[in-house]
Amino acid sequence: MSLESIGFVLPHSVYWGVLTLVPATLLAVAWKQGIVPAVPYEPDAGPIEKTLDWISDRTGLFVALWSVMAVCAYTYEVTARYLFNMPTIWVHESSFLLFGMQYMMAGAYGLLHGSHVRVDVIYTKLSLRRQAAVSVFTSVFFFIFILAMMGTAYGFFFDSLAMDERSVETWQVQYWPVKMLMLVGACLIMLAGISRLIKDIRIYEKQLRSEVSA
Amino acid sequence: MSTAAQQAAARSTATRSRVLTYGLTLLVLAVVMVEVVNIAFYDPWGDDYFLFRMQGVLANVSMSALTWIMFGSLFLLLMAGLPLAFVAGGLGVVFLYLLGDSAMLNIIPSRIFPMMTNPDLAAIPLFIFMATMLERAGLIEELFDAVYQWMGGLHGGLAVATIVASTLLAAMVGVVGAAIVTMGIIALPAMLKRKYDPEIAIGSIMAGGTLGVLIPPSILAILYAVVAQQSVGELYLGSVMPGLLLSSLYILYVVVRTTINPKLGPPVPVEERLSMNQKLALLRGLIAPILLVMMVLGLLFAGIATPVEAAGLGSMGAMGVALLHKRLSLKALIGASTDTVKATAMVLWIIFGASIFVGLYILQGGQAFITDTILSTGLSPYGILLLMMILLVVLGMFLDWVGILLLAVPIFVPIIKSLTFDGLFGMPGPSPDAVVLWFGVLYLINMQMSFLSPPFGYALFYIRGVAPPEISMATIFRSSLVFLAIQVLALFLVVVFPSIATGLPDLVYGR
Repeated sequence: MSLESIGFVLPHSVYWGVLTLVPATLLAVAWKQGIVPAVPYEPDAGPIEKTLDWISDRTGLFVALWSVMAVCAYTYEVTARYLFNMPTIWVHESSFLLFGMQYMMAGAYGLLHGSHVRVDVIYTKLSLRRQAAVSVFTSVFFFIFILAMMGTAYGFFFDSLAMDERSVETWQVQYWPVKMLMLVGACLIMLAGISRLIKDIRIYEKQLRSEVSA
Repeated sequence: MSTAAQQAAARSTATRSRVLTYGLTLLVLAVVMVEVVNIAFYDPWGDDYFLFRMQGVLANVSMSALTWIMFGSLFLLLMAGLPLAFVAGGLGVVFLYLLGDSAMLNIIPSRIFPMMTNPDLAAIPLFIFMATMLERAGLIEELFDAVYQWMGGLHGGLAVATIVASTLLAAMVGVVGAAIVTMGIIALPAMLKRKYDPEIAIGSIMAGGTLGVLIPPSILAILYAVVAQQSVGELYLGSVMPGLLLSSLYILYVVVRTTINPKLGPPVPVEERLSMNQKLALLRGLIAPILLVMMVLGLLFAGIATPVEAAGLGSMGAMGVALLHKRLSLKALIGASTDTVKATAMVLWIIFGASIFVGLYILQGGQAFITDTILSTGLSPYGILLLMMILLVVLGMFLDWVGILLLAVPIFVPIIKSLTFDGLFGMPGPSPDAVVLWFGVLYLINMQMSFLSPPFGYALFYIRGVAPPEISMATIFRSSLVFLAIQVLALFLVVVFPSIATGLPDLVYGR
């Protein structure tokens, strides 16, 4: 393959820079126009819960905007390949890595917005108090999963950072930021889970109190 | 008025409830904390440990007992309402520790990372993005409007229009919810107003909506292809004919029923019909979206673009359609992006959790155990296939489709691969290298059925959410039954004539 048929190669630093700056800019513009979706705070949420929910919501919003960039990248790739006969070596890798990081980082956002669906065969038939009580108990398993993920992703990330791990494809982009976001994503969903637990305990106590005073 | 005695009784009930809830939670948490100390500060292979250690206590349990323990606890926690992603992930971690040792926990990132770097999975968020963008462009309403004006004059025309529009929608959208909800909002009131039989009206919306699972670009097909290590393009091609078959069977049913008894679906009165010019004007709005669908599927099937690239171009095209409808704005972009991320986060976290759980089960020899158990029943290959289909539909009553896929497909596909299908009723069976593809299509039809099967099918609840209150749940259940029977018929046809599924891929890929 001759050199000119490779075409434009996105430098790694530009990739990481674009991932940070473009969503930030879009959000800043959206903020000015006043169209940033509001954080879904619960009416009687306390300051800790509000802080946690704010973090889950805003990080989710930030990574969500990466999708638009992947759309542009794939369009560029197909156009470059078929119209100009210049396939790229970076579009596919940059885009699926971007989505890989997005999946991890968006777990907290999904948890906050209730998109992790429950099996509602029995659960929805319970009283509000029982639902909250059961959720408090089952949350232990959530925390086991996320704690183990945080613990193991930590080592996974630092090993990768220590050897400046690169992808095995031609583009050779750094892998450690991807692994870092795996750790960050696990920490974020941990925070969202804590907020969820606070909500469940609050609902549970509220129901108990209303049952006693009734 | 509550007396002091009642107050005291209520207070003691509350205390008991608190002791039970917090006590149980803290008890389990204490056990977990002891093990965390063990993992963090003690050598996993040394003899020293903190208080107690449960590492490896299940190591010598027989496979059949382990199957019961693992899937039993999975079932219990699911019923308790914890989302599948965390049930599977949490139990995966627990069993990793109980079956092996703390070093085994390092499987977690090494299972998740390949999912994060999987090139095919990127098609999922992209197709979802395309669908949400088209939804925001107001396309679904327009589509139904045009089709219904063209077909309203027929017997059962509105129901036929619903199915045709749903089929077209299914070719743009790879999920089920949006189509059913939107059709339920626009098409259902239109049909009820014209005195359509509610069962035909609701049934055609639900059945049409479930086509999204089968007709490309289906999200489920991408996942199946990734899990079963098949080509996404081939599976897409394979599901085209069965999808159209189902759609035409639905239409046939509606037309036959309403022709025999026109009261079930009266045609739109002549004075309400539009003139030819008005009808043609309606078509104009459809040109762009139909071109878009043809572009995406055309690029895909001609082998010009990979599924991921087709999805990317389709998303770009969807933004273009939104621009044409003057609905493209930063607000719409943010809305579509956040809707996408909500859907993908759910799907991918289930994959993360379930791949740990199922990966561990397979690692422990669960695969061989299930294969032996199924083969030892002495059933013929087609009997085993039937058993799997029944299992899939039963699982579909409890789990959502990603869960079923991750739990069942990694275990079923190797069994299917090892069997020879000689054909039924003198018809030729699928060729050995097309068996996994064929099973994939059967699996997709099965998932359609699980969406539609009472009492827990998702389609039933989507339509319940938008149907007027005088439509009872019993009516919704009843209306699904006939269409469910049609799906069984289609499933049967694809089992007996595998070429319905494998014919197109064979032709295009020249096997």
